[in-house]
Amino acid sequence: MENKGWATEEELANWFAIGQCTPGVIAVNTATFAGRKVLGNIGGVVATLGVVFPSLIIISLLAGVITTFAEVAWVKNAFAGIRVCVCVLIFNAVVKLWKKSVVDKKTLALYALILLASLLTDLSPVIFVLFAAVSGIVLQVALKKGGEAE
Amino acid sequence: MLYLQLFWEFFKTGLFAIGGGMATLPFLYDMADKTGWFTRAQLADMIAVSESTPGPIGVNMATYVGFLTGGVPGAVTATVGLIAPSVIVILIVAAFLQAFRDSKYVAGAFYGLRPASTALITAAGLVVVRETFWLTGGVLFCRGSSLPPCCSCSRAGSSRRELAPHRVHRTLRPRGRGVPLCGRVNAKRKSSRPAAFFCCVPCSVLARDVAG
Repeated sequence: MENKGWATEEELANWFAIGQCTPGVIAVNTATFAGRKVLGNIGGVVATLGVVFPSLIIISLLAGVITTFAEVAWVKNAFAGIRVCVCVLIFNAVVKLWKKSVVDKKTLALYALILLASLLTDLSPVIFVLFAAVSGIVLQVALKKGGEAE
Repeated sequence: MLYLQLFWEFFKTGLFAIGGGMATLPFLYDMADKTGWFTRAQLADMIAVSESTPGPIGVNMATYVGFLTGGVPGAVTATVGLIAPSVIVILIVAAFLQAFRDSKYVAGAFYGLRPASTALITAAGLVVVRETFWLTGGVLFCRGSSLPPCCSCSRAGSSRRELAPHRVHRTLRPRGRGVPLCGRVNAKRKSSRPAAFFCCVPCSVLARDVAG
C-alpha cells in the first residue's frame, strides 16, 4: 500500500481501528476503506472483491476435496483430532478479545449475562448484539449524563 | 430461493458480527441449528480449514458454508452476502469519518458490543469443546462400546455415526442421574439446546463408565 502511494501508515492504522469497530470481517473493512480512497465508492467495492477472491477459489477447491474424502476413516479421525486444536483456536481468540472488551465491572456483567443467556436460550445472536449495543449506549451515554447533571 | 436465503443469512451475519472473523461463529452455529444446511461437527472442521488457509477467516468460513450448501454458486452467494453489509457500512462511515470517530453514541454502543461479542464467541467455543470431548466421547473415550439405549424408543447407538442422529440426552434429575433420550424425543421439546448442554455432562461420565 505504501509503496503504491495509496495510503500513509497513519491512514492504515486509522482504517484498521475503524475496521475493528464496524460490523463484518476486519480485513474486508480495511480493504473497502483503502479502495474508496483510491477510486471512490467503486474502488471500495473492487478492493473488497479482490480480498475475497483468493479465499473463494482456495476454499471452493479445498471444500470440494474435503467433501469427497469426508467419509474415509482416516480423514474422519484426523478431523476428530483437529477439533481439539479448534477449541484452542477459539479460546485464543476469546482471550485476545477479552483484554480489549472486558475493561470494568459493567462490561464483565454484560459479558456474563450474554454468555449465560446464549447458553441457556435458543435466541438468535442478533438479539444479543442489539441488546448489547443499546445497553452500551445506556451505560456510557445516558448514565454519564445523569452523573454530570448531579 | 435457496441462494436468496443463503444470501440473507450471511448478510445478517456480516451486519451483526462485530470483532473479526471469529465473531461470525455464533451466527454460524445458529444457522446450523435453524437451517440444517450443515452440522455442528462440519462447522468445527470448517474452522480448522478456514484458519489454516490464507485469507480472512470469516470470509473463508462463509465460502465453505456456501459451498457445502450450494456448490460454487453457493460459495459466491454466501461470500457476497457476508461482505455486502461491510462494504455498505464502510462506505457510509467513510463519508462521515470524523463524526463517526467522535460520536459518543458509537463509542457507547461498542463499549457494550465488545463484551457481547466476546461472550458469544465463548459460548460457541464451549459448544465446540462439548462436541469434541463429550458428544464425540464415543470416539475419544469408548470407541466401539455401546451407549445406553434411549429410554423412550430403546434404540441404542454404538458408534459416533449412530450417535449423531441419535444423540443421547439425559434429563436432569437429582444426583445427576437421568434417562437417556434420543434426538427425536428431544426434538419434540421446543428448544433442545439447554437440555443438550446440561445433559451431556452426565452423559460423558456415563459413556466412559460403559467403556470401562
